[in-house]
Amino acid sequence: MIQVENLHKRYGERQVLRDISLQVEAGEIFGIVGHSGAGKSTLLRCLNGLEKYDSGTVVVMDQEVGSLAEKKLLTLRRRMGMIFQTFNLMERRNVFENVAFPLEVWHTPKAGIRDRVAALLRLVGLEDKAGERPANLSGGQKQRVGIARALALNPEILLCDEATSALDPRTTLSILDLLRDINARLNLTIILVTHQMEVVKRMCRRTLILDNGLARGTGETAELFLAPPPGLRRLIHDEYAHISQGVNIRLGFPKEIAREGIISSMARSLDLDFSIVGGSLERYQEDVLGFLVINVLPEHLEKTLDYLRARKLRWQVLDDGQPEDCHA
Amino acid sequence: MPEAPSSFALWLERLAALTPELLESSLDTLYMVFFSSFFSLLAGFALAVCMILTGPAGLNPRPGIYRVLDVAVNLGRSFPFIILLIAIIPLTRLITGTTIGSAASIVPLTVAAIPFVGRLLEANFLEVDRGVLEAARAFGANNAQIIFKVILPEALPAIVLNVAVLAITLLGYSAMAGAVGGGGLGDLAIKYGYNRFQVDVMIYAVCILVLMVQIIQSVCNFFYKKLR
Ligand SMILES: Nc1ncnc2c1ncn2[C@@H]1O[C@H](COP(=O)(O)OP(=O)(O)OP(=O)(O)O)[C@@H](O)[C@H]1O
Ligand SMILES: [Mg+2]
Repeated sequence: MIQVENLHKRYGERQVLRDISLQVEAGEIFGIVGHSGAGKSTLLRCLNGLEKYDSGTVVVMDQEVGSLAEKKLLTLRRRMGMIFQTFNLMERRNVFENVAFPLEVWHTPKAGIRDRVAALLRLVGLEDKAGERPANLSGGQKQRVGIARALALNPEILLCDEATSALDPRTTLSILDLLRDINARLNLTIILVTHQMEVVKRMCRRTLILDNGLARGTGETAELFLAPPPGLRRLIHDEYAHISQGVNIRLGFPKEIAREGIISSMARSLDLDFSIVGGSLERYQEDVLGFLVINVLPEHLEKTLDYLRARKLRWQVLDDGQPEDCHA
Repeated sequence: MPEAPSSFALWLERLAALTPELLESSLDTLYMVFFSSFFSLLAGFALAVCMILTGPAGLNPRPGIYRVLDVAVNLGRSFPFIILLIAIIPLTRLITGTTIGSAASIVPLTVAAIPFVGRLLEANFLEVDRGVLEAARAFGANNAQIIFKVILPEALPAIVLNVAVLAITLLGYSAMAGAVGGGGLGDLAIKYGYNRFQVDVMIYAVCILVLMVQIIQSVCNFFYKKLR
Protein backbone atom coordinates (compact mmCIF):
# COMPACT_ATOMS: atom_id res chain seq x y z
CA MET A 1 0.00 0.00 0.00
CA ILE A 2 2.75 2.43 1.00
CA GLN A 3 6.47 2.06 0.33
CA VAL A 4 8.89 4.71 1.54
CA GLU A 5 12.54 4.36 0.64
CA ASN A 6 15.53 6.39 1.81
CA LEU A 7 13.49 9.49 2.44
CA HIS A 8 15.41 12.66 3.29
CA LYS A 9 13.93 16.02 4.15
CA ARG A 10 15.48 19.23 5.41
CA TYR A 11 14.14 22.61 6.47
CA GLY A 12 16.95 24.99 5.62
CA GLU A 13 19.96 23.76 7.56
CA ARG A 14 17.94 21.40 9.71
CA GLN A 15 17.75 17.76 8.64
CA VAL A 16 14.26 16.70 9.75
CA LEU A 17 14.09 13.23 8.18
CA ARG A 18 17.13 11.06 7.57
CA ASP A 19 17.05 8.01 5.39
CA ILE A 20 13.60 6.78 6.40
CA SER A 21 12.28 3.57 4.87
CA LEU A 22 9.04 1.82 5.67
CA GLN A 23 6.40 -0.45 4.20
CA VAL A 24 2.75 -0.45 5.06
CA GLU A 25 0.52 -3.31 4.02
CA ALA A 26 -3.09 -2.89 2.95
CA GLY A 27 -5.50 -3.13 5.86
CA GLU A 28 -3.00 -2.82 8.70
CA ILE A 29 -2.70 -0.23 11.43
CA PHE A 30 0.85 1.04 11.28
CA GLY A 31 2.34 3.17 14.06
CA ILE A 32 4.87 5.98 13.87
CA VAL A 33 5.96 6.94 17.34
CA GLY A 34 8.52 9.40 18.70
CA HIS A 35 9.00 12.39 20.93
CA SER A 36 7.99 15.92 20.06
CA GLY A 37 9.99 17.31 17.16
CA ALA A 38 11.09 13.87 15.96
CA GLY A 39 9.66 14.54 12.52
CA LYS A 40 6.52 12.42 12.73
CA SER A 41 4.14 14.99 11.27
CA THR A 42 6.62 15.84 8.55
CA LEU A 43 6.89 12.16 7.57
CA LEU A 44 3.12 11.78 7.54
CA ARG A 45 2.69 14.91 5.42
CA CYS A 46 5.16 13.54 2.88
CA LEU A 47 2.81 10.59 2.36
CA ASN A 48 0.00 12.73 0.96
CA GLY A 49 2.24 15.32 -0.63
CA LEU A 50 1.42 18.17 1.75
CA GLU A 51 5.18 18.35 2.20
CA LYS A 52 7.88 18.03 -0.45
CA TYR A 53 10.94 15.91 0.22
CA ASP A 54 14.53 16.24 -0.92
CA SER A 55 15.41 12.70 -1.92
CA GLY A 56 14.15 9.15 -1.72
CA THR A 57 10.85 7.77 -2.94
CA VAL A 58 7.36 7.70 -1.48
CA VAL A 59 5.09 5.31 -3.33
CA VAL A 60 1.45 5.34 -2.25
CA MET A 61 -1.00 3.05 -4.01
CA ASP A 62 1.50 2.58 -6.83
CA GLN A 63 2.08 6.29 -7.41
CA GLU A 64 5.27 8.16 -6.63
CA VAL A 65 3.99 11.12 -4.61
CA GLY A 66 6.91 13.46 -5.24
CA SER A 67 6.66 13.27 -9.02
CA LEU A 68 2.88 13.62 -9.36
CA ALA A 69 1.43 16.59 -11.22
CA GLU A 70 -0.93 18.80 -9.20
CA LYS A 71 -4.15 17.24 -10.61
CA LYS A 72 -2.96 13.70 -9.99
CA LEU A 73 -1.87 14.64 -6.49
CA LEU A 74 -5.32 16.00 -5.64
CA THR A 75 -6.88 12.78 -6.91
CA LEU A 76 -4.49 10.75 -4.79
CA ARG A 77 -5.42 12.80 -1.72
CA ARG A 78 -9.03 12.04 -2.42
CA ARG A 79 -8.17 8.42 -1.66
CA MET A 80 -6.46 9.31 1.63
CA GLY A 81 -8.32 10.71 4.62
CA MET A 82 -6.58 12.63 7.38
CA ILE A 83 -7.36 13.53 11.00
CA PHE A 84 -5.53 15.95 13.24
CA GLN A 85 -4.59 16.63 16.84
CA THR A 86 -6.40 19.97 16.78
CA PHE A 87 -9.34 18.56 14.78
CA ASN A 88 -9.13 21.44 12.26
CA LEU A 89 -12.86 21.81 11.79
CA MET A 90 -14.35 24.91 10.23
CA GLU A 91 -15.83 26.98 13.02
CA ARG A 92 -18.50 28.58 10.87
CA ARG A 93 -19.82 25.33 9.49
CA ASN A 94 -21.95 23.02 11.58
CA VAL A 95 -21.19 19.33 12.01
CA PHE A 96 -23.13 18.31 8.92
CA GLU A 97 -21.46 20.93 6.74
CA ASN A 98 -18.00 20.04 8.03
CA VAL A 99 -18.47 16.40 7.15
CA ALA A 100 -19.91 17.44 3.79
CA PHE A 101 -16.85 19.52 2.92
CA PRO A 102 -14.77 16.86 1.11
CA LEU A 103 -17.90 15.79 -0.79
CA GLU A 104 -18.47 19.38 -1.94
CA VAL A 105 -14.86 19.61 -3.02
CA TRP A 106 -15.40 16.61 -5.27
CA HIS A 107 -18.74 17.86 -6.60
CA THR A 108 -21.05 15.27 -5.08
CA PRO A 109 -24.73 16.00 -5.84
CA LYS A 110 -26.76 17.47 -2.93
CA ALA A 111 -28.91 14.39 -2.35
CA GLY A 112 -25.84 12.17 -2.35
CA ILE A 113 -24.20 14.42 0.25
CA ARG A 114 -27.24 14.27 2.51
CA ASP A 115 -27.33 10.47 2.57
CA ARG A 116 -23.60 10.03 2.86
CA VAL A 117 -23.23 12.51 5.74
CA ALA A 118 -26.15 10.94 7.60
CA ALA A 119 -24.53 7.50 7.27
CA LEU A 120 -21.16 8.85 8.44
CA LEU A 121 -22.63 10.59 11.46
CA ARG A 122 -24.35 7.36 12.38
CA LEU A 123 -21.04 5.51 12.04
CA VAL A 124 -19.31 7.85 14.52
CA GLY A 125 -22.35 8.12 16.80
CA LEU A 126 -23.19 11.79 16.27
CA GLU A 127 -26.56 11.61 14.50
CA ASP A 128 -28.08 14.06 16.96
CA LYS A 129 -25.34 16.68 16.60
CA ALA A 130 -25.68 17.42 12.87
CA GLY A 131 -26.75 21.01 13.43
CA GLU A 132 -24.22 21.92 16.14
CA ARG A 133 -21.26 24.21 15.64
CA PRO A 134 -17.87 22.64 16.53
CA ALA A 135 -17.50 25.19 19.35
CA ASN A 136 -20.36 23.45 21.17
CA LEU A 137 -18.77 20.00 21.04
CA SER A 138 -16.37 18.23 23.39
CA GLY A 139 -12.91 17.24 22.18
CA GLY A 140 -13.93 13.65 21.63
CA GLN A 141 -16.99 14.69 19.65
CA LYS A 142 -14.89 17.03 17.53
CA GLN A 143 -12.53 14.20 16.71
CA ARG A 144 -15.50 12.04 15.74
CA VAL A 145 -16.55 14.75 13.33
CA GLY A 146 -12.97 14.80 12.06
CA ILE A 147 -13.12 11.05 11.50
CA ALA A 148 -16.48 11.24 9.74
CA ARG A 149 -15.10 13.97 7.47
CA ALA A 150 -11.97 11.96 6.76
CA LEU A 151 -14.08 8.95 5.75
CA ALA A 152 -16.48 10.95 3.58
CA LEU A 153 -14.77 10.09 0.30
CA ASN A 154 -14.34 6.39 1.11
CA PRO A 155 -10.57 6.61 1.38
CA GLU A 156 -8.35 3.55 1.29
CA ILE A 157 -5.83 5.06 3.71
CA LEU A 158 -6.42 7.09 6.86
CA LEU A 159 -3.59 9.27 8.17
CA CYS A 160 -3.88 10.15 11.86
CA ASP A 161 -1.63 12.89 13.23
CA GLU A 162 -1.73 12.76 17.03
CA ALA A 163 -5.46 12.10 16.78
CA THR A 164 -5.84 11.45 20.51
CA SER A 165 -3.16 13.67 22.01
CA ALA A 166 -5.59 16.42 22.97
CA LEU A 167 -8.06 14.04 24.61
CA ASP A 168 -8.41 12.62 28.11
CA PRO A 169 -7.60 8.92 28.66
CA ARG A 170 -11.15 7.67 28.51
CA THR A 171 -12.03 9.62 25.37
CA THR A 172 -8.75 8.48 23.86
CA LEU A 173 -9.84 4.89 24.32
CA SER A 174 -13.22 5.48 22.74
CA ILE A 175 -11.62 7.15 19.70
CA LEU A 176 -9.07 4.34 19.40
CA ASP A 177 -11.86 1.76 19.57
CA LEU A 178 -13.69 3.63 16.83
CA LEU A 179 -10.57 3.66 14.63
CA ARG A 180 -10.04 -0.04 15.20
CA ASP A 181 -13.66 -0.73 14.39
CA ILE A 182 -13.39 1.25 11.16
CA ASN A 183 -10.16 -0.52 10.29
CA ALA A 184 -11.85 -3.89 10.63
CA ARG A 185 -15.17 -2.98 9.04
CA LEU A 186 -13.97 -0.96 6.08
CA ASN A 187 -10.61 -2.69 5.66
CA LEU A 188 -9.04 0.74 5.88
CA THR A 189 -5.27 1.07 6.12
CA ILE A 190 -4.42 3.36 9.05
CA ILE A 191 -1.18 5.20 9.73
CA LEU A 192 -1.13 6.34 13.32
CA VAL A 193 1.32 9.03 14.35
CA THR A 194 1.62 9.64 18.07
CA HIS A 195 3.99 10.35 20.92
CA GLN A 196 1.88 8.16 23.22
CA MET A 197 3.57 4.78 23.50
CA GLU A 198 0.39 3.21 24.93
CA VAL A 199 -1.47 4.12 21.76
CA VAL A 200 0.82 2.23 19.39
CA LYS A 201 1.01 -0.70 21.78
CA ARG A 202 -2.73 -0.91 21.82
CA MET A 203 -3.38 -0.30 18.17
CA CYS A 204 -0.49 -1.20 15.91
CA ARG A 205 0.83 -4.55 14.89
CA ARG A 206 3.90 -2.89 13.43
CA THR A 207 5.58 0.35 14.45
CA LEU A 208 8.35 2.70 13.37
CA ILE A 209 10.19 4.50 16.14
CA LEU A 210 11.38 7.91 15.06
CA ASP A 211 13.97 9.85 17.00
CA ASN A 212 15.35 13.16 15.84
CA GLY A 213 14.62 12.37 12.20
CA LEU A 214 16.10 8.88 12.32
CA ALA A 215 14.25 5.57 12.18
CA ARG A 216 15.54 3.98 15.38
CA GLY A 217 13.64 0.76 15.12
CA THR A 218 10.91 -0.79 13.09
CA GLY A 219 9.02 -4.04 13.29
CA GLU A 220 6.43 -5.87 15.33
CA THR A 221 5.23 -3.55 18.08
CA ALA A 222 5.27 -6.15 20.81
CA GLU A 223 8.83 -7.18 19.94
CA LEU A 224 10.00 -3.57 19.87
CA PHE A 225 8.61 -2.80 23.27
CA LEU A 226 9.25 -6.08 25.05
CA ALA A 227 12.78 -6.52 23.82
CA PRO A 228 13.94 -3.20 22.47
CA PRO A 229 17.26 -3.12 20.63
CA PRO A 230 20.06 -1.51 22.64
CA GLY A 231 19.93 2.26 22.72
CA LEU A 232 16.18 2.33 22.31
CA ARG A 233 15.28 1.59 25.88
CA ARG A 234 15.56 5.12 27.16
CA LEU A 235 13.35 6.21 24.30
CA ILE A 236 10.66 3.67 25.03
CA HIS A 237 10.49 3.28 28.78
CA ASP A 238 10.20 6.83 29.92
CA GLU A 239 7.41 5.98 32.31
CA TYR A 240 9.46 4.66 35.22
CA ALA A 241 11.12 6.64 37.92
CA HIS A 242 13.92 4.32 38.95
CA ILE A 243 15.51 3.83 42.31
CA SER A 244 19.08 4.96 41.98
CA GLN A 245 20.60 2.37 44.30
CA GLY A 246 20.76 -1.26 43.31
CA VAL A 247 19.69 -2.64 39.97
CA ASN A 248 16.23 -2.28 38.48
CA ILE A 249 14.88 -5.18 36.48
CA ARG A 250 11.74 -5.04 34.43
CA LEU A 251 9.83 -8.31 34.20
CA GLY A 252 7.10 -8.97 31.69
CA PHE A 253 4.58 -11.78 31.79
CA PRO A 254 1.33 -12.78 30.21
CA LYS A 255 -1.62 -11.92 32.40
CA GLU A 256 -2.44 -15.55 33.10
CA ILE A 257 0.74 -16.09 35.08
CA ALA A 258 0.18 -15.40 38.75
CA ARG A 259 2.70 -12.69 39.48
CA GLU A 260 2.73 -13.10 43.21
CA GLY A 261 3.51 -16.77 42.78
CA ILE A 262 6.68 -16.14 40.83
CA ILE A 263 7.86 -13.24 42.92
CA SER A 264 7.38 -14.88 46.26
CA SER A 265 8.83 -18.21 45.13
CA MET A 266 11.85 -16.34 43.75
CA ALA A 267 12.38 -14.64 47.07
CA ARG A 268 12.08 -17.92 48.88
CA SER A 269 14.23 -20.08 46.68
CA LEU A 270 17.00 -17.48 46.27
CA ASP A 271 16.80 -16.35 49.85
CA LEU A 272 17.35 -12.68 49.09
CA ASP A 273 15.56 -9.38 49.54
CA PHE A 274 14.31 -7.17 46.77
CA SER A 275 11.81 -4.40 46.54
CA ILE A 276 9.02 -3.82 44.10
CA VAL A 277 9.38 -0.48 42.34
CA GLY A 278 6.29 -0.46 40.21
CA GLY A 279 3.99 -2.48 38.07
CA SER A 280 1.56 -2.07 35.25
CA LEU A 281 -0.69 -3.81 32.82
CA GLU A 282 -0.17 -2.94 29.18
CA ARG A 283 -2.34 -3.80 26.30
CA TYR A 284 -0.80 -5.01 23.06
CA GLN A 285 -3.63 -5.14 20.54
CA GLU A 286 -5.55 -8.23 21.68
CA ASP A 287 -3.19 -9.25 24.51
CA VAL A 288 -2.74 -7.82 27.95
CA LEU A 289 0.72 -8.13 29.44
CA GLY A 290 1.78 -7.49 33.01
CA PHE A 291 4.99 -5.72 33.98
CA LEU A 292 6.79 -5.48 37.26
CA VAL A 293 9.93 -3.53 38.06
CA ILE A 294 11.95 -4.93 40.93
CA ASN A 295 15.08 -3.60 42.57
CA VAL A 296 17.87 -5.92 43.73
CA LEU A 297 21.32 -5.36 45.21
CA PRO A 298 24.09 -5.49 42.60
CA GLU A 299 25.70 -8.51 44.27
CA HIS A 300 22.44 -10.44 43.86
CA LEU A 301 21.98 -9.58 40.20
CA GLU A 302 23.57 -12.66 38.64
CA LYS A 303 21.69 -15.03 40.90
CA THR A 304 18.42 -13.32 40.10
CA LEU A 305 19.03 -13.32 36.37
CA ASP A 306 19.90 -17.01 36.43
CA TYR A 307 16.61 -17.66 38.10
CA LEU A 308 14.70 -15.58 35.55
CA ARG A 309 16.47 -17.25 32.63
CA ALA A 310 15.41 -20.62 33.92
CA ARG A 311 11.77 -19.48 34.18
CA LYS A 312 11.71 -18.17 30.57
CA LEU A 313 10.27 -14.83 31.55
CA ARG A 314 10.75 -11.65 29.54
CA TRP A 315 13.04 -9.35 31.47
CA GLN A 316 15.43 -6.49 31.04
CA VAL A 317 17.84 -4.58 33.23
CA LEU A 318 16.87 -0.93 33.22
CA ASP A 319 19.66 0.89 34.96
CA ASP A 320 21.18 4.04 33.62
CA GLY A 321 24.88 3.92 32.86
CA GLN A 322 25.04 0.15 33.13
CA PRO A 323 25.43 -1.87 29.98
CA GLU A 324 21.92 -2.72 28.95
CA ASP A 325 21.01 -6.34 28.98
CA CYS A 326 17.87 -8.10 28.12
CA HIS A 327 16.27 -11.34 27.46
CA ALA A 328 13.08 -12.04 25.61
CA MET B 1 -49.95 93.55 16.54
CA PRO B 2 -48.52 90.08 15.93
CA GLU B 3 -46.42 88.56 18.62
CA ALA B 4 -42.68 88.34 17.89
CA PRO B 5 -41.87 84.73 16.98
CA SER B 6 -40.16 82.76 19.75
CA SER B 7 -36.55 81.75 19.24
CA PHE B 8 -37.67 78.13 19.05
CA ALA B 9 -40.05 78.88 16.22
CA LEU B 10 -37.29 80.77 14.44
CA TRP B 11 -34.91 77.86 14.83
CA LEU B 12 -37.53 75.46 13.49
CA GLU B 13 -38.15 77.67 10.51
CA ARG B 14 -34.44 77.89 9.75
CA LEU B 15 -34.03 74.11 10.05
CA ALA B 16 -36.96 73.56 7.71
CA ALA B 17 -35.34 75.85 5.18
CA LEU B 18 -32.03 73.99 5.43
CA THR B 19 -33.50 70.49 5.37
CA PRO B 20 -33.60 69.94 1.60
CA GLU B 21 -29.99 70.88 1.26
CA LEU B 22 -28.90 68.81 4.27
CA LEU B 23 -30.83 65.87 2.92
CA GLU B 24 -29.34 66.15 -0.54
CA SER B 25 -25.83 66.45 0.83
CA SER B 26 -26.40 63.45 3.08
CA LEU B 27 -27.55 61.37 0.15
CA ASP B 28 -24.51 62.53 -1.83
CA THR B 29 -22.26 61.43 1.00
CA LEU B 30 -23.94 58.05 1.29
CA TYR B 31 -23.69 57.61 -2.44
CA MET B 32 -19.95 58.34 -2.42
CA VAL B 33 -19.28 56.13 0.58
CA PHE B 34 -21.37 53.27 -0.73
CA PHE B 35 -19.88 53.08 -4.18
CA SER B 36 -16.30 53.75 -3.16
CA SER B 37 -16.63 51.07 -0.46
CA PHE B 38 -18.12 48.68 -2.98
CA PHE B 39 -15.51 49.16 -5.69
CA SER B 40 -12.58 49.24 -3.29
CA LEU B 41 -13.83 46.04 -1.66
CA LEU B 42 -13.94 44.31 -5.03
CA ALA B 43 -10.48 45.45 -6.07
CA GLY B 44 -9.06 45.09 -2.56
CA PHE B 45 -10.39 41.54 -2.37
CA ALA B 46 -8.60 40.63 -5.59
CA LEU B 47 -5.45 42.25 -4.24
CA ALA B 48 -5.69 40.41 -0.92
CA VAL B 49 -6.24 37.09 -2.71
CA CYS B 50 -3.10 37.71 -4.78
CA MET B 51 -1.19 38.48 -1.60
CA ILE B 52 -2.24 35.35 0.30
CA LEU B 53 -1.55 33.23 -2.76
CA THR B 54 1.94 34.60 -3.31
CA GLY B 55 2.81 35.43 0.30
CA PRO B 56 5.58 33.71 2.30
CA ALA B 57 3.21 31.22 3.95
CA GLY B 58 0.83 31.32 0.98
CA LEU B 59 -0.85 28.63 -1.06
CA ASN B 60 1.52 29.21 -3.95
CA PRO B 61 4.46 31.28 -2.69
CA ARG B 62 6.02 33.66 -5.22
CA PRO B 63 8.36 35.89 -3.21
CA GLY B 64 9.08 38.23 -6.13
CA ILE B 65 5.44 39.00 -6.91
CA TYR B 66 4.59 39.35 -3.23
CA ARG B 67 7.43 41.84 -2.72
CA VAL B 68 6.07 44.03 -5.52
CA LEU B 69 2.49 43.91 -4.19
CA ASP B 70 3.67 44.55 -0.65
CA VAL B 71 5.67 47.64 -1.61
CA ALA B 72 2.86 48.92 -3.84
CA VAL B 73 0.34 48.61 -0.99
CA ASN B 74 2.63 50.42 1.41
CA LEU B 75 3.23 53.17 -1.13
CA GLY B 76 -0.48 53.55 -1.81
CA ARG B 77 -1.26 53.76 1.88
CA SER B 78 1.41 56.32 2.63
CA PHE B 79 0.19 58.71 -0.09
CA PRO B 80 -1.67 61.66 1.53
CA PHE B 81 -5.27 61.57 0.32
CA ILE B 82 -5.49 65.23 -0.52
CA ILE B 83 -2.50 64.91 -2.86
CA LEU B 84 -3.85 61.75 -4.42
CA LEU B 85 -7.10 63.55 -5.02
CA ILE B 86 -5.33 66.12 -7.16
CA ALA B 87 -2.79 63.76 -8.70
CA ILE B 88 -5.37 61.48 -10.25
CA ILE B 89 -7.56 64.20 -11.72
CA PRO B 90 -6.79 63.01 -15.26
CA LEU B 91 -7.93 59.50 -14.37
CA THR B 92 -11.06 60.85 -12.74
CA ARG B 93 -11.89 62.87 -15.85
CA LEU B 94 -11.24 59.86 -18.04
CA ILE B 95 -13.66 57.68 -16.08
CA THR B 96 -16.46 60.10 -15.14
CA GLY B 97 -16.03 62.88 -17.69
CA THR B 98 -15.87 65.51 -14.93
CA THR B 99 -13.82 66.34 -11.86
CA ILE B 100 -16.45 67.89 -9.61
CA GLY B 101 -19.47 66.43 -7.90
CA SER B 102 -19.96 63.30 -5.90
CA ALA B 103 -19.71 60.88 -8.84
CA ALA B 104 -16.26 62.23 -9.61
CA SER B 105 -15.22 61.83 -5.96
CA ILE B 106 -15.82 58.11 -6.10
CA VAL B 107 -12.73 57.62 -8.24
CA PRO B 108 -10.09 59.04 -5.86
CA LEU B 109 -11.90 57.58 -2.86
CA THR B 110 -11.81 54.14 -4.41
CA VAL B 111 -8.20 54.41 -5.51
CA ALA B 112 -7.12 55.55 -2.06
CA ALA B 113 -9.04 52.75 -0.34
CA ILE B 114 -7.86 49.80 -2.46
CA PRO B 115 -4.45 49.30 -0.78
CA PHE B 116 -6.10 49.88 2.59
CA VAL B 117 -8.72 47.19 1.93
CA GLY B 118 -6.06 44.89 0.49
CA ARG B 119 -4.10 45.05 3.72
CA LEU B 120 -7.14 44.66 5.98
CA LEU B 121 -8.42 41.63 4.08
CA GLU B 122 -4.97 40.08 3.85
CA ALA B 123 -4.77 40.27 7.66
CA ASN B 124 -8.26 38.72 7.94
CA PHE B 125 -7.31 35.89 5.60
CA LEU B 126 -4.09 35.20 7.46
CA GLU B 127 -6.08 34.91 10.69
CA VAL B 128 -7.84 31.79 9.41
CA ASP B 129 -6.44 28.77 11.25
CA ARG B 130 -3.67 27.15 9.21
CA GLY B 131 -4.76 23.72 10.39
CA VAL B 132 -8.13 24.20 8.72
CA LEU B 133 -6.42 25.06 5.43
CA GLU B 134 -4.21 22.02 5.85
CA ALA B 135 -7.28 19.83 6.33
CA ALA B 136 -8.86 21.24 3.17
CA ARG B 137 -5.68 20.55 1.23
CA ALA B 138 -5.56 17.02 2.64
CA PHE B 139 -8.99 16.30 1.14
CA GLY B 140 -7.84 17.39 -2.29
CA ALA B 141 -9.28 20.91 -2.41
CA ASN B 142 -7.59 23.14 -4.99
CA ASN B 143 -6.53 26.72 -4.32
CA ALA B 144 -9.74 28.27 -5.65
CA GLN B 145 -11.82 26.01 -3.41
CA ILE B 146 -9.63 26.78 -0.43
CA ILE B 147 -10.08 30.52 -0.98
CA PHE B 148 -13.82 30.53 -1.69
CA LYS B 149 -15.00 27.62 0.43
CA VAL B 150 -12.66 27.90 3.40
CA ILE B 151 -10.76 31.16 3.79
CA LEU B 152 -13.50 33.58 2.72
CA PRO B 153 -16.36 32.01 4.72
CA GLU B 154 -14.20 31.52 7.81
CA ALA B 155 -12.92 35.11 7.67
CA LEU B 156 -16.32 36.62 6.89
CA PRO B 157 -17.26 37.90 10.38
CA ALA B 158 -13.89 39.63 10.75
CA ILE B 159 -14.26 41.05 7.25
CA VAL B 160 -17.64 42.54 8.16
CA LEU B 161 -16.02 44.43 11.03
CA ASN B 162 -13.41 45.74 8.65
CA VAL B 163 -16.13 46.88 6.26
CA ALA B 164 -17.23 49.20 9.06
CA VAL B 165 -13.66 50.47 9.43
CA LEU B 166 -13.51 51.01 5.68
CA ALA B 167 -16.88 52.78 5.35
CA ILE B 168 -16.14 55.06 8.29
CA THR B 169 -12.71 55.93 6.95
CA LEU B 170 -14.25 56.69 3.57
CA LEU B 171 -16.87 58.84 5.27
CA GLY B 172 -14.06 60.97 6.65
CA TYR B 173 -12.26 61.05 3.31
CA SER B 174 -15.47 61.96 1.50
CA ALA B 175 -15.73 65.09 3.64
CA MET B 176 -12.21 65.91 2.50
CA ALA B 177 -13.13 65.26 -1.11
CA GLY B 178 -16.01 67.66 -0.52
CA ALA B 179 -13.49 70.38 0.24
CA VAL B 180 -12.33 70.35 -3.37
CA GLY B 181 -15.82 70.41 -4.84
CA GLY B 182 -16.82 66.81 -4.34
CA GLY B 183 -20.26 67.48 -2.94
CA GLY B 184 -21.73 65.88 0.14
CA LEU B 185 -21.81 66.95 3.76
CA GLY B 186 -18.16 68.02 3.83
CA ASP B 187 -18.76 70.32 0.89
CA LEU B 188 -21.86 71.77 2.58
CA ALA B 189 -20.09 72.33 5.88
CA ILE B 190 -17.27 74.20 4.22
CA LYS B 191 -19.42 76.20 1.82
CA TYR B 192 -21.76 77.55 4.53
CA GLY B 193 -19.95 77.10 7.79
CA TYR B 194 -16.51 78.20 6.75
CA ASN B 195 -17.03 80.51 3.78
CA ARG B 196 -20.27 82.16 4.89
CA PHE B 197 -19.94 81.93 8.65
CA GLN B 198 -23.21 80.00 9.05
CA VAL B 199 -21.91 77.93 11.92
CA ASP B 200 -25.22 76.14 12.48
CA VAL B 201 -25.01 74.47 9.07
CA MET B 202 -21.58 73.16 9.92
CA ILE B 203 -22.89 71.79 13.21
CA TYR B 204 -25.79 70.03 11.51
CA ALA B 205 -23.46 68.50 8.94
CA VAL B 206 -21.12 67.24 11.65
CA CYS B 207 -24.06 65.84 13.65
CA ILE B 208 -25.25 63.92 10.62
CA LEU B 209 -21.74 62.53 10.06
CA VAL B 210 -21.58 61.40 13.68
CA LEU B 211 -24.94 59.72 13.31
CA MET B 212 -23.84 57.96 10.14
CA VAL B 213 -20.73 56.61 11.84
CA GLN B 214 -22.87 55.24 14.66
CA ILE B 215 -25.28 53.60 12.26
CA ILE B 216 -22.59 52.03 10.08
CA GLN B 217 -20.82 50.61 13.12
CA SER B 218 -24.05 49.26 14.64
CA VAL B 219 -25.17 47.61 11.43
CA CYS B 220 -21.80 45.94 10.97
CA ASN B 221 -21.72 44.82 14.60
CA PHE B 222 -25.15 43.33 14.14
CA PHE B 223 -24.05 41.31 11.12
CA TYR B 224 -20.83 40.33 12.84
CA LYS B 225 -22.77 38.79 15.72
CA LYS B 226 -25.16 37.15 13.36
CA LEU B 227 -22.45 35.62 11.20
CA ARG B 228 -20.13 34.43 13.91
N1 LIG C 1 7.61 24.57 8.21
C1 LIG C 1 8.71 24.31 8.92
N2 LIG C 1 9.81 25.07 8.79
C2 LIG C 1 10.92 24.81 9.50
N3 LIG C 1 11.05 23.80 10.38
C3 LIG C 1 10.00 23.00 10.58
C4 LIG C 1 8.77 23.21 9.86
N4 LIG C 1 7.89 22.26 10.25
C5 LIG C 1 8.54 21.52 11.16
N5 LIG C 1 9.81 21.95 11.37
C6 LIG C 1 10.81 21.35 12.26
O1 LIG C 1 10.95 20.01 11.90
C7 LIG C 1 11.09 19.19 13.04
C8 LIG C 1 10.07 18.07 12.99
O2 LIG C 1 8.77 18.62 13.07
P1 LIG C 1 7.48 17.72 13.12
O3 LIG C 1 6.32 18.63 13.19
O4 LIG C 1 7.52 16.74 12.01
O5 LIG C 1 7.68 16.98 14.50
P2 LIG C 1 6.69 16.02 15.25
O6 LIG C 1 7.43 14.76 15.47
O7 LIG C 1 5.40 15.93 14.52
O8 LIG C 1 6.50 16.76 16.62
P3 LIG C 1 5.18 16.94 17.51
O9 LIG C 1 5.02 15.70 18.30
O10 LIG C 1 5.53 18.11 18.39
O11 LIG C 1 4.04 17.20 16.60
C9 LIG C 1 10.92 20.10 14.23
O12 LIG C 1 12.18 20.36 14.77
C10 LIG C 1 10.34 21.36 13.68
O13 LIG C 1 10.84 22.47 14.38
MG1 LIG D 1 3.43 16.64 14.95
